Amino acid sequence: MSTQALTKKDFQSDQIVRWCPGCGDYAILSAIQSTMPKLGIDKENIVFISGIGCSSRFPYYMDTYGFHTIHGRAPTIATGLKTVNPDLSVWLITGDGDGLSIGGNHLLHVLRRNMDINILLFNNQIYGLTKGQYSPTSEMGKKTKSSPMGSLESPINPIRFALAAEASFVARTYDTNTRHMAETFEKAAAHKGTSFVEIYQNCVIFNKDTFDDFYDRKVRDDHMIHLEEGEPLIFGKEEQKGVYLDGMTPVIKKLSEAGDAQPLAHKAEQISRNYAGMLAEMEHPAMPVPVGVFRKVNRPTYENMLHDQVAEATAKKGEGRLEDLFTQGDTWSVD
Amino acid sequence: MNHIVSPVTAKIQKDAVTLLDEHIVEIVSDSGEGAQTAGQIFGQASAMMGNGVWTVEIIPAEIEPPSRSVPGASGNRIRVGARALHNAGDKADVVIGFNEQVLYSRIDQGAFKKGTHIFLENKWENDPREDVRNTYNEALTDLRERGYKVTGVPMEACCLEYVRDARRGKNIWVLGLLCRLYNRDKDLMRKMITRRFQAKGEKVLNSNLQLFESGFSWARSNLTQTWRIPPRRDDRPHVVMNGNQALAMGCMAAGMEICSMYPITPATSVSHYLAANFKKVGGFVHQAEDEIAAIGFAIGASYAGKTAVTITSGPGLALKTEFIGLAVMAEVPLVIVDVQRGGPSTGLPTKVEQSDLLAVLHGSPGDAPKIVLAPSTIEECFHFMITARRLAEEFRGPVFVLSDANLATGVQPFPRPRLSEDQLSPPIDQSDWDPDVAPYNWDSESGLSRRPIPGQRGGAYVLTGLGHDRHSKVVYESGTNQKTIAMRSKKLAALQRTLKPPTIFGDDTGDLLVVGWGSTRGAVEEAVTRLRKQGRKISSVNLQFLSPLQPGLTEMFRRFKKVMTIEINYSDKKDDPAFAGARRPAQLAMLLRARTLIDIDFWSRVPGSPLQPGILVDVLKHRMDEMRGATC
Repeated sequence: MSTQALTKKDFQSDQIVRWCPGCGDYAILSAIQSTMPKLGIDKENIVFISGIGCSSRFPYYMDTYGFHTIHGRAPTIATGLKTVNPDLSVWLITGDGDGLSIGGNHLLHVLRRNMDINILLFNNQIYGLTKGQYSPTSEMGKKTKSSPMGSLESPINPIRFALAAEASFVARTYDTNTRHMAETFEKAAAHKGTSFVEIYQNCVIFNKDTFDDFYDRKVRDDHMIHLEEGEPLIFGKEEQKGVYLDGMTPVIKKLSEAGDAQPLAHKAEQISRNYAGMLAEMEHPAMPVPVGVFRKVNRPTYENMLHDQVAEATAKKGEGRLEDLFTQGDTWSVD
Repeated sequence: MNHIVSPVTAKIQKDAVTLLDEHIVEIVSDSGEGAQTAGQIFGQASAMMGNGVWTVEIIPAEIEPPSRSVPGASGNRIRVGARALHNAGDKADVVIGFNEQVLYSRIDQGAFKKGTHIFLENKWENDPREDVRNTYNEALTDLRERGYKVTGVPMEACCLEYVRDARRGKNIWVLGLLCRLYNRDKDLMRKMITRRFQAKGEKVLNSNLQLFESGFSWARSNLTQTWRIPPRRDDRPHVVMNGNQALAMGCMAAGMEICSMYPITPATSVSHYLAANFKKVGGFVHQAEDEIAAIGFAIGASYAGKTAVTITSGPGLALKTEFIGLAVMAEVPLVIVDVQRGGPSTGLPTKVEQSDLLAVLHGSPGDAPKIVLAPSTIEECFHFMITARRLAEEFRGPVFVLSDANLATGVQPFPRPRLSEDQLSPPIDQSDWDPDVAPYNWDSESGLSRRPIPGQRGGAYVLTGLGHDRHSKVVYESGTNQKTIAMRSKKLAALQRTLKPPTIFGDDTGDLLVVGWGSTRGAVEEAVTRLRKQGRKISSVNLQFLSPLQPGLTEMFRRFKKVMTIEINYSDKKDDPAFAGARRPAQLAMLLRARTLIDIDFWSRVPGSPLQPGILVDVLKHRMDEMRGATC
């Protein structure tokens, strides 16, 4: 099987895709399937691991190795798998409920350890598979079957969660822009360390069009900023606006009215998380919603450091012989 | 009741040395005074001199409990004998107490008897605090009234000649005393002290050796009676270790390279021993963020082709339950060690219980058949790990090893295991997978199948916790779950066909058969031996496999008039009218009653300590007398 010959079709499994018609997951699946051949990795070295939820059906539709595990725990399996076999390209598929509610602890720790895996968090701000309860990313006051008078919980911002967990690669993309998704996934795959990608994903049944106010093709230019390394933070279809700093606070100004002031230029590669954190706090409708790579820094991966330790122990003490453990110390014969 | 001096073997020698068949020594102090170190060295030295030894730790639940408090008792019980020993025995013969309060914890546990020699630190009689002087003096009177032989010992006064803080020296001083009292090999003990302290520098080492000599001299000048316990005859090379160390060594001998854990008492020390030695042989310990992640990592590692072990205790087992079900469902090989402690909930973290049997067998939702082994000795802790790995891979699923706090901290010598390549599982075939072979190509007789590993060409497939067919495809058709669960169940049946019936201890017919599992074996067999010497027709059997059960049990049980289990878990007492007609059985009894349809009786308790053979003798005698009453 030659890697060169692989096409998008090679990554489509024989399973009938069972998401609801119009679900954003279809576009994400398609974007992933078209990204895979570009990575130059043999199919048998790719593994998709998921938890539970609509998004977690994902591995069935990929013609690669996969493991549809249990609710929230996929990061733990991915960690064990990648540690034992660092040659594998490991993709973790999760959702806002799976990753940030039941599996919040594991997501925190996989990011902290900086496993070299790619995490795609499908954020539709609702529980879909269990039929429409509010999720940890749902807006406060959301009326659902389990919160008829409105939910009382403040939502989690996945990007800020990832930054707080010391994630070395944090990005956001959205299901109505296949090209942006594919580019983001490629960048995620290229990053050595945990790549965390939040994907705004539309649930047509239980949270229809929740992102339309800012990501619909007709309005997105006025409400989103596409982050590009080194490029100024500017947006706006008719009238161009920029993001400026007023003390520690980002403010929006028309370029025409900014005078000599320069809009902020995007820099994902910085150790401090303050800038990325500031971007993460920019939320609709007060601010344009940033998409793209928020932060990208290099730090050693857990699996590499671990294998280095094993190698160091062997180098220092020589290839250990199990027998020695049984013949040294408290061992004797009675004469 | 065993005697301080066995009337059969004891004879007064010219040099006032009394020969003993066995003795039980306890060293009890406040936590942090080093009684455990002293006990370990004494036990190991005795083992190396050829004695049978069983030691058990006396552990408070807190790290630094208040000094001079009853619950703060910390130390070691060392049973030393002229033959192999498999349990901690009955009542102590000799006790070294660093203060009088900690002794009451042991008295509550029923650890002493009339005539027990107590060597008690006497500095408290001159303590500047009046209340301390009073409690000490009151206790002295009380202990003597209880029939213990108390000797005041100037530990602190002697130690202060060599160290400024006697709390840091008493333990080794006491070791000197014991060395003289039991005529231990002085050079050997000095060597062991050297090994323990040489890393701490010459000054520390020298003062410890001086403390040892001081304790020895004090005993020589002040104790007229000394004892000697002759070695048993066994010229095989031996090793001495506790059950957790044996589990860790078994793990390495089995060729496992990954241990994934979250710290939990009393299981943690397995991973400590592994962490210290594993990397030398290419393995590693992963400390996960919680118990769930620990088993998740192990499943991930096994999925990647390297069968992993995860080690836990009751509360951790509860958290792992969902993942255990996944390992059964997706057929991922895995070894799970449960070092059982007292429950439910946080329960008794440092104390022994055998309360997880039914949780392990039936804890998962749905039908989740798994293999469950229970070692009964330290030596078996080692060997069962090798068996567990083989079975996990052969039968493609989780295998449990049920140890407990008694085995975990019990130290025993056993013949040095032979290491060989056969102990390792055959390497996993990583050659290209034939795409025509399904990932669950279940053999219709045995339910066995081979698994592809990620990275293996041609085998790309998706594992799932959902109901699936032999192609690992999710199925919704009715009847499939019935068929596929049957496949997983067949694996247990296939394993059972390869097992032999367990070996009976005693005659294979008689009045009473005692059935036990795990660490109670030593105490049960000792009780049965004593009763057989009294002419009772009693035998016992220890079940090493709890799932599947070994074959032939029903036939075996039918050859006895009565069968009962002895266990360290809760069951309703027989004579309490509150339970009349609704008595809840002990766990193994419940299992065996269901599987054999025999009216199996039971006696079980949760005292937080290992069972004493003497107590079992009384229990079994009573049950046998009841039988006689019933048949007459």
